[in-house]
Amino acid sequence: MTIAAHMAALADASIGKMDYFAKHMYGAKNLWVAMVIGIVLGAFVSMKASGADRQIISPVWKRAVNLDTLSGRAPMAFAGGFIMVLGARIADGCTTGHGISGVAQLAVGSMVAVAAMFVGAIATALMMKRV
Amino acid sequence: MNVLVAICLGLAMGAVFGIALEKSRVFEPGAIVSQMQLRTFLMLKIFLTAVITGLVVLAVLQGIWGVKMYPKALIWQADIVGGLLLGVGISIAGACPGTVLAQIGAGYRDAWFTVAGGIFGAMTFGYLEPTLRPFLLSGGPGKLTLDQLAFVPFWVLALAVATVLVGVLVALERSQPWRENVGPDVDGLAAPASQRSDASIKLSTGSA
Repeated sequence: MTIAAHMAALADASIGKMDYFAKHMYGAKNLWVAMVIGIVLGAFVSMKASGADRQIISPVWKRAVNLDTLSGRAPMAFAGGFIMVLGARIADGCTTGHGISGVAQLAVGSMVAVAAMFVGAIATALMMKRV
Repeated sequence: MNVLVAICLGLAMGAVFGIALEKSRVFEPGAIVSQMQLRTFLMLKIFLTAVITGLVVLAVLQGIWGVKMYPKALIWQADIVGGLLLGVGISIAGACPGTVLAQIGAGYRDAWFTVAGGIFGAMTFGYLEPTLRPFLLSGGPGKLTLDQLAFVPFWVLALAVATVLVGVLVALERSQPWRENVGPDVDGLAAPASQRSDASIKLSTGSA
């Protein structure tokens, strides 16, 4: 969110005045940006350490939606990312925030969000070919 | 918090999370799509393991030291609409907002487009938020937790729920061992139905 806010600010100077963006731009958010980089690095090191290598896109996409090129898969990935984060912002949390942190605190709202998440995900995945 | 400490702490937390996502294979689009088609249950197992760990850790922290909790508020419309969209996006992206970062680290190139779409989605939400707030993002009973509803201390219920979930986890692992879930190429993609052994065909029809 912090990154999105700063990118939007490049294009639209009035954004710092909008509450939601401002909240995410001017707080102490270094921890979360560092954590994003940490996840990428952690997965990279972990993959290299086990001597494994991945293809450009996962073979699941060939089986599920018959896409085996990056250019074919890219628009689908973009659309998925867009819907996913829009939903996560509306629900105020994602698989980690609601799913793990929220359910572990026995928060009812998080359990509702996780149930809805699985319903949406299962309905969508069942429209693809069986993998 | 000092900026340098915050950055180091963030990097360390992220690295642990990234290694765990990679080693558990739960970052694999194959693991996510086949979970959501109810063919394999690797993602659910990892997810439940993380929830159980969280429950036990918080039960100890809260029961002994009384640490403050930060549950999110229950807002029915926001949780349901947002959760549904999040789920649709997860199946299309083959990732969730955390695992997409591990996909980048692991070398899947389409993950960069997922992140770009995600940044665009967050930006869109930033613009829509003032419009959505009155009817979608407010109201509801506030921060509601199961232990408040049941009138028992948090740590008691947390440990009870953790015990039940351990049972679910054991049952899932008994019905589908993890080696079967990760598939022959360890990419979370179990063999296609036509190539599976009798045992796994029985399992997949039984679970679907």
